[in-house]
This record gives sequence, C-alpha cells and structure tokens, in this order.
Amino acid sequence: MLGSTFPTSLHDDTHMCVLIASCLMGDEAAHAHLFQIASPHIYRLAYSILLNRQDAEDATQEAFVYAFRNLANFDPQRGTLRTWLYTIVVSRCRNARRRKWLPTVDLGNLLLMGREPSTSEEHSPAHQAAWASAREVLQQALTRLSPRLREAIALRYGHDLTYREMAEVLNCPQKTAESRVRLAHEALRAAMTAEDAALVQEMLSI
Amino acid sequence: MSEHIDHLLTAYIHQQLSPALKTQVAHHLQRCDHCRAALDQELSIGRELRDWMPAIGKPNKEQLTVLWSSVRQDRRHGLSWRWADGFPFTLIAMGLFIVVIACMVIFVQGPLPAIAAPVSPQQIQVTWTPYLTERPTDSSVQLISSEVAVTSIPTLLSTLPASPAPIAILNR
Repeated sequence: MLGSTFPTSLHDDTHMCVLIASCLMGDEAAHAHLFQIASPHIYRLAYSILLNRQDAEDATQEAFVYAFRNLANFDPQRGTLRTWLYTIVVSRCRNARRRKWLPTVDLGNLLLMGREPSTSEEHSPAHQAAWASAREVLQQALTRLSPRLREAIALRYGHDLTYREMAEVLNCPQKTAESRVRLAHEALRAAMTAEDAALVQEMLSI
Repeated sequence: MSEHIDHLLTAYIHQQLSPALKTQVAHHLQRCDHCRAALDQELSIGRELRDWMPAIGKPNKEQLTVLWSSVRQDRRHGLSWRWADGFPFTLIAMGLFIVVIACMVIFVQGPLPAIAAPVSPQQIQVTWTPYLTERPTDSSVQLISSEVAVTSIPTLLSTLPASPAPIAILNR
C-alpha cells in the first residue's frame, strides 16, 4: 500500500520523507526499499574510493547499518538523504583505509565494463586488445590518484554532485572541493600521455 | 599573460574564474599552442571521467542480495550485540591495555629511585661592616670592623698599656 508512494530512486526527494517515516516506524519493507534504491550508488561510491570489492562491500554494509540505526538523526533541512548517505559511506571508507594500512587494489575488478563491446565485429581480437589497452590506461591513471582526490573525482563524475554537495559530503569548504577536482585533473593529465588519451578517446567514441 | 596557464584550465572549464581572468585565459588560449593542447586534453579527460566513472564498481544483483541479508541481520541483532558483547569487551580490552602499559613501565625501566638533590656543606661568607651609631661612653670599649681589625690590630696593640683594657671586636 505504502509502496506506491515510496520514491523510485535516490534522487526522488519529494517522496523520500514518506519512506523515512515508514523506516522510523520499523517497517521492514521500507528498509528493504531504501536499501534497494540506495545500495547501488553507495556500493559504487565505496568501490570507486577503495578500489577493492571486499572492502567496498564491508564499507557499504557498515554504512547501511549506521544509517538505519541513526535515521532519526537525519535532518532534511540540512541536506538530502542522498548526501547524508554519501557522507556516511565516505566516512566508512576513510575508516577502512586507516584499518588497512597497506592498500590493496583489485585491478581485475577496477572497471566493471558496462561499455564492453557487444557486437561480433567489436569482438575481434584487435578491437579487444585495443579496448583492454584503453582500460589499462585509465586503471593505472586512477589508481595513482590519492584517496582524497579519488573521493572528489568519484563524487563529481561518478555521482554528479555539485561542488556545494561535495563540500557537504567531504566536510570541507567548497573551494577545497574545487581544488581537489582540479588537482585530480592535473594528476590524471600528468599520468596519461597524449597517446594514452587519444587511445581512450578513440575507444569511447566507438 | 605570457607564461603557460595549465593550472587555470580546470577552473576555466568549470566556470570558476573571475570574468577578468576568464577573458585573459581565453586570449591566451588563442595565441598559445601548448595551452590549447592542454585544454583539449583537459576536456578529453573530463569527458572520459563522465563516461567511465559511473561504470566503475557497478554491483551485481547477487552481491546486493548478500549485502542486504547481512545488513538486515546486523540491524536485528545490532543493539543486543552492542550492549551484551561489545560494551564489556571494550572495557576488558581497555583494562588489559592499561595493565600491559603499567607492566612495561615497571619491568622495563624498573622502579624509579628517589634521588635527593646533592647537598654539600658550604661555607657562607658574610661580610658585615658594623656601623658605629653611637660612640661608646666607655672609652675602653671600641667597636671595630673585621677589616679594620685585620689592618689595625698590630697598631692598636702597640698603643695599649701593659695591662690591656677590654676590647670588643665584633667580627661578624
């Protein structure tokens, strides 16, 4: 009955208060719905920061457990539920990094290829080799970024947050968020040679 | 603006420059091949990030199903765990930590001896020059300083009669 008024995505702020109210009343279906619409975003953010599947799953689990326990503390006047959840998961990712002193980068799973070639023509060995090279270039460039810069890039480009929302999530001034994106751009530009950039550009234009 | 402006390009693309600086950057880009190439690369990186970042770490359905069951289990048993297990465990861990630190201090360094500050007797030299405030009525009593006494005693003794009169010498 309530399901029809639940938001269909994490960006649907108009119906979010109904879902939150149902969660606060202890409705199991509301919790499940909130997890269903938010978990892909939360996991993707955790993964793009930690670059490790197991760590990302742990951070996602911890973030949801914390969010469900502290949902009563969420104040819609201070921001959206989306940025509140992002704040929690970024905090959990930072904790995970502190716990794991030496970072382990799961290079094999870094890019889950939503843009993998699908036609038989594109499955040609030459094309697959070129695609693998392009993927490798971006893998290497992204893994060289510091975690703080990767956070900024993930929020800006992976989740399309504004600088003001980024500042809220990262708990820093807006100018700092802008600087981190700029520094990440400069680091990526320095890490990728002109040939690398041309190769990636060519693959993306296919 | 004759030097290269690579550091301003991201801000230029994201419309974060002041109008005056933006105009200067635009003029510079018309003249400088190096910065124009850097701008092209910057735009390319932005496009690539927008295309690729949303594809990074997309979870599959099985992953989320397993995660949801873990979250649901944690949510149901979280409160009892926190107070039944977590809280005493934290206290015990803190107690053990304090005991280990105390043992390290005692056994590694040993008991700290109470060392008193060394004190050796020293002679105190006090120089005191008494002032004769009132001339003694008894002429046989003279108050003289130690300095005067050292220099004047031989002279004084030579002036004394055979039966010496009492002399008070204040040496201190």
